[in-house]
Amino acid sequence: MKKSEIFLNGALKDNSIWRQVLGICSALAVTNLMINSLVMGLGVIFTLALSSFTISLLRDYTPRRVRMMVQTLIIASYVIIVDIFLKGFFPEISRALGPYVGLIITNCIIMGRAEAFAQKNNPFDSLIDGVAAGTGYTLVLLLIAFFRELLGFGSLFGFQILGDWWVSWSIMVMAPSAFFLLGLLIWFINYRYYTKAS
Amino acid sequence: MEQERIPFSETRLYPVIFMLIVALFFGTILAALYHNTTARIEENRRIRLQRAVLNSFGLPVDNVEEDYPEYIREEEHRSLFYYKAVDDTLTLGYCFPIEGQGLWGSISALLAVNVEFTRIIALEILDQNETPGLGGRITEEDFLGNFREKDFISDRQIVEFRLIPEDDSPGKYDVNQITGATSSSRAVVSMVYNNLRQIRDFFEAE
Repeated sequence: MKKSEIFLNGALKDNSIWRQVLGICSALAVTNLMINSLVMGLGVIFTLALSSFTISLLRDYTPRRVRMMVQTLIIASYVIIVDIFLKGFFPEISRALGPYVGLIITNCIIMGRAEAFAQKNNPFDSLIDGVAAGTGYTLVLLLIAFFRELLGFGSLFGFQILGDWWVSWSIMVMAPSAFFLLGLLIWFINYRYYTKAS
Repeated sequence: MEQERIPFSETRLYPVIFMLIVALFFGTILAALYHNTTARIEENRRIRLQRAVLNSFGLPVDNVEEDYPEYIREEEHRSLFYYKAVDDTLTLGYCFPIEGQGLWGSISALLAVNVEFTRIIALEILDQNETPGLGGRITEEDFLGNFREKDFISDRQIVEFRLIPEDDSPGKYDVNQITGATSSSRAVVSMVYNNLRQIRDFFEAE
């Protein structure tokens, strides 16, 4: 498979969120502010790319029976690296994200890509696939956060966009709105791009 | 009869050894990283705390390294730890680390009061786990400004502030709540009230 094809498949065609419906928990939780979504997305891209790479590197030596333990160990290590890095060098962002960084460990996309791709492909392709899946995830997060922050606060990335006349929709800041928006997004994309083919 | 040789990677021992090596490898990397950053993380935490203490007294925070030792004394009175702000010989006020129960977890804060114990100088939130974007806004100046230079004694009693809608203009003992985060706003008001009472009881018990 060509590298560009791997990337497009991972990021768009087989997008983790709207196609595989993975990683939903964090997509619902952090998307009320764009900046939180962006940092979360970068953390996931980093973890996903490097853990896929490492898992693929070890795939020929990993005994099948313990492969999930190995995957979890590798994923957890990279997440802790991200966490320590943010704490040490970006304490403000680390505090804003709070427990969300540690929760990257439980993001199903990472284990999903490890099982579905990294276990069967070479390290470099796995790295690309990891970056692609992470990018697809980040795009969806930013898209949902765009609507939630704009309607909920009247701002984008913390900059006030809408004036004083705007009455903020508190519901957009709370978790239920993420369910609505995510549902609408999945429905729209499936209706528009996937049903015609079948 | 000669026994068939099974390759090492098929033996029962192999997964155990493999797992051990992988765990050791990543464990070592993490330990090294942790070891090299703890000092830095501690330092970040210390500066943040010292800045918050200075901030709670309305003192300059541009140069924490010099201003903190100049203005702040850390004191302990019968197991109660607090900060005292001094300007030469003049005492500016006292700052108490306080804690309360928020909506999702505990909230810790710094509460600075004047020497007469009648007015809050300022409130600074140190840690909280409220809903990001909603209750999380208790750390913002829009909300904390409510507590700046605020009297809390009426008829020689400590007052529990009253919560009013975000856009109403506040009276002497009112606090503008955060719309959509009533519980978190109430949690902060109760935390301040409970701790003020505890502090007063503590010193009156003398």
